[in-house]
Amino acid sequence: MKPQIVKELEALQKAGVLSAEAAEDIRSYYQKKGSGAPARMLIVFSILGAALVGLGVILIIAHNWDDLSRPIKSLLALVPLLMAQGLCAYALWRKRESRAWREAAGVLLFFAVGASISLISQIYNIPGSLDTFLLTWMALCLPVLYIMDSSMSSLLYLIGITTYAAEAGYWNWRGDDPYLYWLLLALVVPYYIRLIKNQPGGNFTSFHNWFIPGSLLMALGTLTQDAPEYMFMAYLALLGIFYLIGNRDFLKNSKIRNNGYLVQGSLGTMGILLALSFNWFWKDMATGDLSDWSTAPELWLSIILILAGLVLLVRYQRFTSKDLVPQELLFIIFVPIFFMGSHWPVLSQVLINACVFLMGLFVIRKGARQDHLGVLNYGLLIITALVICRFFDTNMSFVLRGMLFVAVGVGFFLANYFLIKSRKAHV
Amino acid sequence: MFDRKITLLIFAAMVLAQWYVPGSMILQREATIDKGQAFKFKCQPIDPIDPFRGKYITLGFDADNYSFNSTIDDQLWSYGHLAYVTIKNDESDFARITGVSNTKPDAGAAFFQATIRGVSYIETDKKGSLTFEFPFNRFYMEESKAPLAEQLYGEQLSDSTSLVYGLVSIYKGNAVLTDVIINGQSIKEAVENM
Repeated sequence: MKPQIVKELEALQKAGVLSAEAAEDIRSYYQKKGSGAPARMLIVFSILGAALVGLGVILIIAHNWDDLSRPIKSLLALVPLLMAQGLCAYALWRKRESRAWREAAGVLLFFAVGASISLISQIYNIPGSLDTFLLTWMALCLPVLYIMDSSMSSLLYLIGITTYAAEAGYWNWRGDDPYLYWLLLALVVPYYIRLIKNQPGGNFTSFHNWFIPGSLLMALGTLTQDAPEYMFMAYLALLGIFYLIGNRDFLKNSKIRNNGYLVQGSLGTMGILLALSFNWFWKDMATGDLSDWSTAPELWLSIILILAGLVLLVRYQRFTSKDLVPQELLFIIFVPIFFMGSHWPVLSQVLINACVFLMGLFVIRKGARQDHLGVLNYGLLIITALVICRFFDTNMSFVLRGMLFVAVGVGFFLANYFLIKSRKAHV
Repeated sequence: MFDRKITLLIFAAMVLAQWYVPGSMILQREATIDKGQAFKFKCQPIDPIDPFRGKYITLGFDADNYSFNSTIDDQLWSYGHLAYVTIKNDESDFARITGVSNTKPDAGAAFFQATIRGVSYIETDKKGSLTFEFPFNRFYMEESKAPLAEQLYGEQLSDSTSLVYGLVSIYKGNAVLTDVIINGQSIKEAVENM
């Protein structure tokens, strides 16, 4: 599809606005820019096709044909695996340069491995547990992403190991500790680093920038033992680390929607602080004793993550930087507020509310300075969320609450109005 | 990503591993069916749906508990843990749990690992019983037949003279459910004759 400007070139040339050379330059620029599009579409459709074929074959075999004998059914269950491995071998040695082939064959093999284990379980009536099944499946598919150099397989692998961690750690009645998740995650890191180096702005890299922090956020909670209150520090530190990474040059200049670290770090931090802006948590902190620090692994986990965050702050020279964003320091500021909570719960709650409010203001200021409507409105949303939270748990009169809402509403209008107005003035 | 020789090596190792897992599952179960001792476990099927594996009926077993004559160590036997259960036939030729152990029984005995689903004991003398979930409580059927199987079982439940049991082969600690029998007939045939 040609961009609008290319369609207008002829008219502009005729009107004498644009010289023939300039028009040709523009045309060749867009032609060059658009040449990657068909290849990209081919990869997308190859992956979709492979996924659909894989799932279709599984469903057909899952019918569990009663007329077939057990050995025949077992053999049939292994046919997709054989076919997918054959296609991978063909893609590797005959179509090595074709990304579409490698991705499609990799995805097909990924599903075929899961299907074969699942179908054999069905044929021999093995109930099994979902977490062991996912663990085996993912371990067997780890080489696929490296050998086939298949980014889609890597994303599927991340989904798989995260589901394994959640299934074993949260959803399973046994509440096992899915320690192997961390090993499986560490094993995908070299692939991820290579992806960042080779395709810094690529679509798959952007997806990984969302999936990796998302997976870590999901899995961190599985480390909770008997002192969950300390996990708030651990989570804020992890989100702080994401925020710091999201502000690094290799991500900072990408679009916000491609910067999973920044978005998850910022939204997550604000979400946790908003939850802690209610008094229930601090009431519990004041009434119940904090778990003994020496026996609470959650506290040690928090310390490790906070130290890691500090190392990043120093390494990225954020303390001496002029554009230091206060949100980068929130995970450190939270530590004294947290420990104060067991003695002065009201003070901690007030400080958390103040933090959220100030962060909202900082974000609004940042949005105004960067002339970015999205950032500006995000700041306003933070303050609105804070006002809504206070709407539910304070004894303020309805008139006062109403006035607060009106004030925030007017703030939304004025901030957007002035920003758009200043934009027009600069045009 | 790697040079050709290394790629070939890793690819071969991966293919082997990917065949080893389902392959060993097949061989282990086939050996259990061929060489194992067959036991009858009285059961009750229902019909849930597992998105991964088509349709199956879930079996509940009559003889899924074991009573201790001595004191129960509730630290040793707790909910969700695995235990070795030893099986023997009772006088009516149905399987019963005759022993529970934390260590692997002798190879000659018919045993398998089951999950503890309930621990009940009297506070005073700590004598009580354990209830288990057996590792063969699913029987997969052709998707069109599973609902019919459930209907058939519902009818059989109301008939006190009917007898439903799962046929299980046990060998070296592995147990494979090979069939569900309703009044002497395989549930698959019984459904076809409906």
